[in-house]
Amino acid sequence: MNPILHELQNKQWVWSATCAKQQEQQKKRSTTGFASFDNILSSGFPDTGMVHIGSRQGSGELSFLLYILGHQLDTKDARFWVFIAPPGHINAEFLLANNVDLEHLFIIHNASCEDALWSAEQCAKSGACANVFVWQKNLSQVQVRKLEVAAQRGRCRCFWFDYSQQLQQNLPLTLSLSLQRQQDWIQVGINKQKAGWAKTPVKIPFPLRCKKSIRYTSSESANLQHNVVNLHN
Amino acid sequence: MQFDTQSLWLYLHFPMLQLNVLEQSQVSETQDIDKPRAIYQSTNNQIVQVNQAAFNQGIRIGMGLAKASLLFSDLALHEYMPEIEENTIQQLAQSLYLITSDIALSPPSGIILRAQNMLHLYGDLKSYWRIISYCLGQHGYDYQAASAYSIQSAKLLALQGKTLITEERKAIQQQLEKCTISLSEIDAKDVEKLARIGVHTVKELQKLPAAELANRVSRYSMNVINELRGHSPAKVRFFQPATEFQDFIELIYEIEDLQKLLPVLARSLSKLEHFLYVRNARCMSIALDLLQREESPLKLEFNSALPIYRSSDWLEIIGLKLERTALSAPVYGVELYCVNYEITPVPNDDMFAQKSYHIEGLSLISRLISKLGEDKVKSLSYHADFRPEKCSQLSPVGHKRNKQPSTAYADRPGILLPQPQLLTHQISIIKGPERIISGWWDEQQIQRDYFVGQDAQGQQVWVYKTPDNQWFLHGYFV
Repeated sequence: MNPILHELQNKQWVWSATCAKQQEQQKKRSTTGFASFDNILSSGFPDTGMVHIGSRQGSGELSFLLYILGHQLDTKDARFWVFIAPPGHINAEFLLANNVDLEHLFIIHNASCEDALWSAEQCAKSGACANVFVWQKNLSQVQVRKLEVAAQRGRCRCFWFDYSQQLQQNLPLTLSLSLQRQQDWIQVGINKQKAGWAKTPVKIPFPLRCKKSIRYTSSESANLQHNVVNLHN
Repeated sequence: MQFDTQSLWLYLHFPMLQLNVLEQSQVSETQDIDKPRAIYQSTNNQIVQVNQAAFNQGIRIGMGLAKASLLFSDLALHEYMPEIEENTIQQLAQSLYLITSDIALSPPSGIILRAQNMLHLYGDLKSYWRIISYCLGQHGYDYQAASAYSIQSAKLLALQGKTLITEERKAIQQQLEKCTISLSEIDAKDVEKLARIGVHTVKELQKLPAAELANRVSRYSMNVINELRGHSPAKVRFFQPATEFQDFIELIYEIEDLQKLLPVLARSLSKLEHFLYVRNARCMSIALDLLQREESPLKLEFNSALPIYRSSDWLEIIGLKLERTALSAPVYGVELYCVNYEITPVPNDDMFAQKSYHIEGLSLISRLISKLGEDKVKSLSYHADFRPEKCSQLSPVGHKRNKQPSTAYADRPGILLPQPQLLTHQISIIKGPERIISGWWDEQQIQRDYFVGQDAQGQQVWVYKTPDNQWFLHGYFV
């Protein structure tokens, strides 16, 4: 291709018919499963793009997200889920409990910040990943922009978990959420979204699983339960 | 295999093959390509190949080392290595094999083609030769070619530097008669004997009756002479294409920065691409030996999760891995192998069928592994064990795993700490205890009472108490 045209296209200054499809994709939203959350999200969760989640570590941010994604699970979708630089070992039991398919999943761990971002970008733009989860502290505008473009190109969602509690303004994100745990509720605020305004936070009931008295993931649990004597409940 | 004396042969002689190979394999950015350069054979102290610049300095083939260096002190000298030439004519034969059937090698630097049976295919010798010379032109090596009705005659003509491509017996005979016999395969001793009786050229040789010659020269030389005369048929073994790919590049400069090696490797990889392309094959791994000065060769292996053949794809994978490779000494040569390759299956899928992500996925994984290393890219599997840290196991990506279990605990935290840490801040207990005593069978027994806790900011953690009342933080409910 003509190098000038190529550059223009890289900067997304040229409109092409394929962009229309992509833009449509960008607008496409799917329900979160919480009516009040859908309400402030201009009718749903974006299907592509970079999503920032600001919270304290351990306020149920990943389970909340997996719950939302669980509503949109397409069993035919064999694309990968990638976990990049998690702050510890990802627990397989936890993923199974959230209906995540371990077959189509891989983890990149012990990677430096640079490597983690590089891998995130590669995964996002490859088109082979459905969801990319990245744990990083502070990302610059350029880094976020790269991931955002990559996610749009690969039609995937890139989730950025940020425990630093301070978000730089005007990062080119598709959606930026801040989560706060309040006992059995999660308070969700929207700092920024592409189609719509920042909204006042809503409270969504989201208790810990252990409080829901679901102990096992499947119907076979009955068999297992015979072997376990609950001493304290 | 034997042939009658009626078939036409082509002989290709490459007079400065090693020099050509050497100059081609270098990056064009260095201006030193035009530097006077010569190949030196140490066994008989002779310069055997010179480039144009060296020729202009007065350096000629056959000179001794002392004379050459007196003529031009800054001459770049390389030792003559017949293996390089032999490998190169192998490769040339590979690419000629696509356009002509019967090829024989005449190491170190000659190729014999049987033109007779190809004339029917291409119509006449002229169009056959056009195809052959186009193919040779693509490689860009200097060559001298000649045709004749016996291999020995064609070889002699080619060595004399007479590029003569014709079917006419008369013209061939005329040129052949002028040739001196010293360049032919006749034994050097016999050449001397013949010179004593005044036989220097083929013409003079042909005047003598065979019986008289047979008394004077060895049986071997007699066979050569009979072939030159067109009396006895040629015996050759035809070339069979190699089943493995191998390429060696000697560098003009020793390279310490591996990134500078990439343009050199690109040439080799495009040869590999061609090798695989004509076989409709792809490969999943290639091996690279970096020959280091005063060190043992550094052996590297590059793997792709998906069989590929394109040089650009391989170059990307190699580039990423070389970024992480350190050299202990400068590199003076590179050797590339591809031993195992597979024939590409032809897919018969519907073009509009649903897009599969399989291929993108595999190439993504191979890219990640080659950059980050295999130990950093892992897949996760569940292992039924009561000890929380044993439940999740990391395994190499791409391995077939057991079917997912049907039962697991639903109330476990998402992130477990690699090592449980002493609990330092205050939390309130939401739920617990859950006592886990397990692992007596493999010496990693645990006895813990697990609790779910929460601090004032809403952070939910998984903690445990050991029998000696120590509290540890083990995970976060992310």
